[in-house]
Amino acid sequence: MTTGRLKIGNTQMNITQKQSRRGQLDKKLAAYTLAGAAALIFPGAANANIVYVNVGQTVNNPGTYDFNLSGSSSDDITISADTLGPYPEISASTANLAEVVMDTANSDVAALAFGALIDPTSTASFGSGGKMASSFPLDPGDWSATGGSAYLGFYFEGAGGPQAGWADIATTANSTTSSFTVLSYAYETTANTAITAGEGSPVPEPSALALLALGGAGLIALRRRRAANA
Amino acid sequence: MPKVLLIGWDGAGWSQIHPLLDSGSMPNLARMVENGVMGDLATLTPLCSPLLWTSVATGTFADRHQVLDTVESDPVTGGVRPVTRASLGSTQIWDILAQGGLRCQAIGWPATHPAEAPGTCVSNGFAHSLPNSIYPPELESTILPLRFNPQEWTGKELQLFVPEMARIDQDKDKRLAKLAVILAEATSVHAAATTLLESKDWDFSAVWFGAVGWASEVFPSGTDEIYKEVVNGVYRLLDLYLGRLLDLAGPEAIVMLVSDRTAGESEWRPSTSRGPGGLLCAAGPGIDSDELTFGAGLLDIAPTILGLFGFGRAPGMTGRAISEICATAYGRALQNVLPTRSASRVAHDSLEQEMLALEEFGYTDTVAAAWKDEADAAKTRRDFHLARVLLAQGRLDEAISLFEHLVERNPALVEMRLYLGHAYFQSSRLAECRAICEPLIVDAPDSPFASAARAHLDIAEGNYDEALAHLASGQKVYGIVAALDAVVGEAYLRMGKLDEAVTAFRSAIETDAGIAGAHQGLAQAYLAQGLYNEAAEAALDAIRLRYDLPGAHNILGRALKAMGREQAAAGAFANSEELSRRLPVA
Repeated sequence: MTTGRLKIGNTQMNITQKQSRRGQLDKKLAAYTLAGAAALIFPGAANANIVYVNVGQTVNNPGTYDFNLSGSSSDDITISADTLGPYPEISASTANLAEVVMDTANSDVAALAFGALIDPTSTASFGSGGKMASSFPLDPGDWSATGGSAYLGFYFEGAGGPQAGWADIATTANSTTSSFTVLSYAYETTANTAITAGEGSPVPEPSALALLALGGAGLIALRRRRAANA
Repeated sequence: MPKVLLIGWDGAGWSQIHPLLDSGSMPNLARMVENGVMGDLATLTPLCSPLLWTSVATGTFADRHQVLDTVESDPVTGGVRPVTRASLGSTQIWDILAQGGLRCQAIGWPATHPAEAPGTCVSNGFAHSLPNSIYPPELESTILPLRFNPQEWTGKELQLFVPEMARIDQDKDKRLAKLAVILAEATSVHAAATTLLESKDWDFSAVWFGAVGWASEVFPSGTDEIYKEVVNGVYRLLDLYLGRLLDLAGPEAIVMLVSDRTAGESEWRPSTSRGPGGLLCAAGPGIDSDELTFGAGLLDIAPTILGLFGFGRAPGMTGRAISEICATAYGRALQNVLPTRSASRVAHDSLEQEMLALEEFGYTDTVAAAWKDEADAAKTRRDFHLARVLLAQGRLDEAISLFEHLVERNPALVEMRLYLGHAYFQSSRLAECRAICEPLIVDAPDSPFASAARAHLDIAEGNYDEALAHLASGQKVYGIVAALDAVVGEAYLRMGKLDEAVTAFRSAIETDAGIAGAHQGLAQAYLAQGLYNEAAEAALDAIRLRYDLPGAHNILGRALKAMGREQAAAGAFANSEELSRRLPVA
């Protein structure tokens, strides 16, 4: 050992050593397999079990938007912009065994945040529909009166049972009129499977991160783009 | 002349990365793994990030490099500040190479602030807007604008890490803001690094990202459901950045990715068999594909880099060049290089001395007084860390002296008393060990340290079965519980109770698979039992963890010889002899 470099240094030992090391590698690969069910990281990863529909349709008072997802002869869920007494409002109603997520505190239709769980196997907060937004000051509903959007959680009765879904809806209701825009909706194709609000929508392309990954030049480009759009 | 890029990921661990590799979430690291070598990187104690990273950068133990904590005393305020270059007692690898005439740059690495010559440096103060964070100063106009402000993140980006962030009440829960800072720091370092890699000719570059370690601290395992994917998201982001760094380094560069530890893993009672060790992955010209490294540790990184450039180890370095990365023998002596760093430290120390002298004359700094408690606590922590560093090196007398001083000044700190008792025990000063452990048990019978103290007394009295029972019932006590298991094993070994020895060593290994001495003891017991194959395997396990154990090589040689593998045995014996010659003198 005059080279100053330590090594278990002959052919036979090298083979032994490599076999031992190869064994470790095999263990690692086995561990990979065991860990195969590990969760994906970012939301909105491609999910073949979710149907997503981009709508972008505005409905003015009086008017309705109908969801017919089960394929039955009548609609499953109807969103209406109408006027109850002197008060313009927006409401949801259901048929064909469909239900929407309700706010149990006031019995109005719940306005869900992104990521809220919609589980058709849990019946606790589902109901047949009701008020979403209203100009009635004593019961304005959970939804925005000024054009903000939220998620409507629902399930409809599919061939194999209840299928969960969501609809992203922007609402307006004031003393003179009401209107809403169905931005998009999505639903699970597998019965009795939960979905989260917003799940399945195309992930906003992480263009900012993609630019930042480029490094200094990307950072400057990102700032320029934001300044131009400001 | 090779080109080497060293990338540091603070706190990154294979146990967290493997599922991400498996799901295809880290394609750039997967590319490195496929095209290069990978393995564990044995860490050091205590698990303090700047301490460990400075050991990586200097190739020396912390008693030599002197970065012993996350903070250092601030002679201006009398309080503390994040540790700076002023604490450094050893020279970092990029400065060693730059002194040797190579073109070097370091970006974001701990304990590099303020940025100084001889190489190009963007210090760890850059991301936090500290002045003097860039050297040479003419680079400031290019690099300073690349600092990414946490407020530049939009919800769209943060939502990729916290999908349900809309549910967070940010008036009460500030962690989203912390995440923005963590990600901004990584992005600032990446922007500076990519710009320097692109715009300057370089031989060696070192880039450090603290995001995983920091995120693991703010969003630990078992954290609120809403934050559960943050750490995985940070790994993905770093992988994205890694891809760009690999591209810029080019196929002609050797790239080494290292981490100091697995953040979130307990030091001695880890939740996985891997323990708290770090990771190593390297790829580039001359490095085999899809292979494993063998027995590498933090102290081996700097000698490996020196070896890649054809240099031998610098004085004070105790590690070795990792043969799977540095295949050729090294040996060129470093010329005109000062491996020990002193200038800033002298200035720092002299300023402290001046402050002390002023105090003696009755001068009272009200600002300093306000910070005094914090400064005192930091000083105690540094001394405690130093004592543990010495203990880990087997420098028992020096460790005992420090522990005694600490215990005298901090009698209420049970942990320090136990360490002192343990150091006495390791020195065979059993009466003093008993004098520490007995009152500890009386004072703090319910302390998690009490069972370890009882085990010391049991072992001292030869009651090994009772000792094992106490160790089994005890809780984690940094380094001590598993070490005592191994001590019991050694006692049984000396008594010729081989079955009991095997049981005790196995218990130590089950508690902490990272104790090389326990594997070595197990190998010795198997050897005595005539189980040569098992002995060789256990010896190799010890060597994998700590290559520098001559005894383990010797046992391996004896086992191989008994198996009739004379040639292989000769190699192991030669290694044992060589390592024995190299053992550092305390």
